[in-house]
Amino acid sequence: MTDTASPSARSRWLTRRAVLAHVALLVWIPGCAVAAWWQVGVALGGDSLGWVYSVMWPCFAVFGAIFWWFLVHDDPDTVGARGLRRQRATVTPETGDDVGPAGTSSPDDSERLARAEEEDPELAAYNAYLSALAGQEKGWRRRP
Amino acid sequence: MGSVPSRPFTFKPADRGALLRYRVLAYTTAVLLIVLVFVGVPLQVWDDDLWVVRVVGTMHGYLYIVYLVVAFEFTRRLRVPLGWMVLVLLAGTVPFCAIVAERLLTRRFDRMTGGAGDPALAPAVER
Repeated sequence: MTDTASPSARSRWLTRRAVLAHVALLVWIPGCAVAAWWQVGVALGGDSLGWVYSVMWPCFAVFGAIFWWFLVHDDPDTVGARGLRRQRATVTPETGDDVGPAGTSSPDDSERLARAEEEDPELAAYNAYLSALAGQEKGWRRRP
Repeated sequence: MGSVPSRPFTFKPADRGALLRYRVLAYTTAVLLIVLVFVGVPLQVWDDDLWVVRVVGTMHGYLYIVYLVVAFEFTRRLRVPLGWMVLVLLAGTVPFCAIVAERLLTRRFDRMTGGAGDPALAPAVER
């Protein structure tokens, strides 16, 4: 099972969004390295503030890498505003049972999901697909 | 778009704790930056006094890193669109902008969650 999971994994790394993220990271990391090195020079030149920034720029580089990782692995259909809309559309059935004021109670999501699935076979298939993917979590983590 | 399979992804709820962490960091970095720019820099330029710039600049520098982490987490939980997320992160480096961002995000939080809880359960649909 080393390479069989790759169709989905490979496309994950090659979407337009992902490629843009790769390019941005390739610019960002060396940029941070240059800036950090420049601040080390400033610090050695006697300005103690330079030490702060020579620590900060590597932190920014690491943060950029984290940001990149999320950009590549987030599916725009499940994350962000669109994911939220989708989640609401699927989890909240249009049967008029009120979810209640947000935050006051947490109705059993799985129960509502099950009810929504009964009404929508396509959703049920989608969720089955999601849980199948969840089963392959290890394969997903491996780089293609 | 359908070519990329969805990864099951669960969000932690955007609860009051996350909001509070974000607001504390936003105000702290904002105030430090205002002091740095409007007190420290004039003192440095006109009075050759580096004390304020050194101390406040150092504090702001390290706190901004914490701000980045906290703001990133909070904006993700609040489902803030990507471009706005970047602006919120950068807001910590421009005087007064972190305060504006804090107001906008707090309003978004209230609108989405009705004051507390998970935005997934909120009545309104956000853009």
